[in-house]
Amino acid sequence: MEESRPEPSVPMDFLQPWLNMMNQALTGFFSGLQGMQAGSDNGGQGSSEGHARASQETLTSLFKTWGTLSSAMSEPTAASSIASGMASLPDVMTRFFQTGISGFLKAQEQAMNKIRRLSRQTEAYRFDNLDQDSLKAWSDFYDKEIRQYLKVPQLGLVRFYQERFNQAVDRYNIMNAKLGDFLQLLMLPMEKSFKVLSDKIEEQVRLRKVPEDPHEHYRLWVKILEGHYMTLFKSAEYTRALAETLAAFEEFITARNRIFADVMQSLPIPTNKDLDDLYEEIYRLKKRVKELEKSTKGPRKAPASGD
Amino acid sequence: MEETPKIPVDVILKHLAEGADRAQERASKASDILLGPLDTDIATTPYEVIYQEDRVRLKHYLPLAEPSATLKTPLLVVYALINRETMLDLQPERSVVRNFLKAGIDLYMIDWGYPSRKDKYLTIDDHVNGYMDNIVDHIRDRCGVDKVNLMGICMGGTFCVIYSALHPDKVKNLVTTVCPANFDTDQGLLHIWMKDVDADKMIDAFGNMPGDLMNFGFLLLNPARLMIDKYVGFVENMDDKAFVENFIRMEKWIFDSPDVPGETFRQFVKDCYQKNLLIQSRLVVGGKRVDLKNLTMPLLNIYGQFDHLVPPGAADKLTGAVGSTDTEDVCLDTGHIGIYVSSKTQREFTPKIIQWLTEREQPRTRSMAKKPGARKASVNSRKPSWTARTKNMKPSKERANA
Repeated sequence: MEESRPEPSVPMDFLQPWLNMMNQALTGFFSGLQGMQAGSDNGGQGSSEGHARASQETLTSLFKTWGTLSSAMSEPTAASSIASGMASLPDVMTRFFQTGISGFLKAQEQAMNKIRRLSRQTEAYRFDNLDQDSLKAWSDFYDKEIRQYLKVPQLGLVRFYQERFNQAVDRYNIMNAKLGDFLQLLMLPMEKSFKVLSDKIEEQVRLRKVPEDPHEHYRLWVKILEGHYMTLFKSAEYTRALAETLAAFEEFITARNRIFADVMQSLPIPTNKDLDDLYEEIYRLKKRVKELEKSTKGPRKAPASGD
Repeated sequence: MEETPKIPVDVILKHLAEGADRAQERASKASDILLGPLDTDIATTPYEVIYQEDRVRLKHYLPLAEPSATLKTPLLVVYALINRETMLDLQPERSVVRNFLKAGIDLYMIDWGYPSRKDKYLTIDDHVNGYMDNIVDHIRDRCGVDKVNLMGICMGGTFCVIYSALHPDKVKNLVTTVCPANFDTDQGLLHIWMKDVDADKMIDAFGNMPGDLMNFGFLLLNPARLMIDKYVGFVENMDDKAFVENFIRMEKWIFDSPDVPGETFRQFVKDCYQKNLLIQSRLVVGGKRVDLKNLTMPLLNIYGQFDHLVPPGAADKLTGAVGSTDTEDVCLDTGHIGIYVSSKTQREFTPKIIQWLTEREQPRTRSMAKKPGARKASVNSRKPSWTARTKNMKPSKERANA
């Protein structure tokens, strides 16, 4: 069964004469403009002539478009359609509003979920081991929650520049995280050596064998520290941390250099790549010249005296 | 019942009080010393630059004594690309350069200079078959000799080994000092760490290997000693002018670190540290295989017992891999730098080289004739601080009696 449509709230007999009137008024206005444009073009000379003609054509085209549109709109069927469209405006507005509100609520819900997730992540790291776990917590947090935003695909003309910038920021954060881990590893022998020294002093006090020269304690501590460092440096964990830190540092330098190259390309300064290409060319040329020089040189003269 | 010993609190406090007094006195003297004139110049032995190619210069040291009647073959010293050759002439009284000159040796030394970004494409081939070969030819022409004596230090020793294998006709005697030849060892931390270094990524990022980054790596080899104890020692001796001067000279040398050309570093790490090709005679330089069996000239290989950069395990395999039947290993009771700068080894290091070269300058006696089978010899002079292992060569009378 066909649904009965509500009557248009705007009367047809009002809309049609209004459109006709607007059509006539604007037609007159554009014709006048055309005449003015043609008059001013006649006074112009040389190169401005082409530009004036183009402006005139644009105006004519606009005028025609408006004429066509307004004629079409002044047709009774079209006017009826406009009127029914206007009647449905409150519905459309309501739907827009509903969509907006629900989108906002959904975004808020997602944000709340993320915050809940963050709190779940940090929960694993207690304050009793703050110095060691805080770095790891930040590293995990960055990796899972922040990094993804820097990897959002970029659009438009400047997408490559933006992508390189985001990459450098990402590499910088990773480098800092790795460096933090590495430095923390380097501090371990310090902490342990103080603990061992304290135990040794306790032992000396218990046995009443405290050295008379306080310098002895320093010497003992350095020896303990050296031993701990040697143990650490030979461990696979340290070697891995060192390699990862170096790799992160190198990746950051590479990403940073790409940004510098972007900046320098817009300035009258050669980039590293430009120079490297040139250096490579010079290197190859010099090598060839030296080889040629050697090959054209005659055999070496016999020495005046023996070896 | 046995009485428990008491903690000598009074003695400890007395020591502390004395220490505070000394520290105050030291600080007062130290300010006079540090604010006053200090002689901290290094590499003061006079020389002339007789050859230059790009950044590389050849130094010829001016004689300090009459030329030796027996040691006529010029000696070319090849330093590493890491740090600078000034280490051999840090201070007049502990100078390897001066000791050689005093013995009347005609001494030449390569100064590799400071590589810049334009040098990043230079390979081991460019250094060995390019710069080194041109320099050797220049010395041969200048002195009118067919062969030179070659002495390599650390990485410069590795370069000398490669050069001698590729140009054996131009080398009369080869002396390698703290020279890494076998890189597959777990004795040194550097050898362990280098296995995991991504040389490609490093060179792509930096162009050349930054000297400061390498220095930081060297400091990390023993932070307790190199970053703490060393400076505590400095503070404790700041009132001693000679100590301060020597300390600053050493600091000047240690942190004077040129970058290493990128491609050279890449090849050195990958082919030597990671694949260990040199000792297996599988290294390829300039399209030619470096066959250690081509090293048929006499070889003296000196290394340090406590060297943390080139441990004995990295240095002592060389003599067994070469083609020469006249080789000798000398292990000194010291570390990587101590071999050149400690006063104790100064009495042994250069005299040993001079003596060894002199013996090979003169016509060979029957006692020096080649005999099969390697053997170890220990030297007992002045309480031995070094041991020697000779291959196919009877120790000289002097050495045996020493």
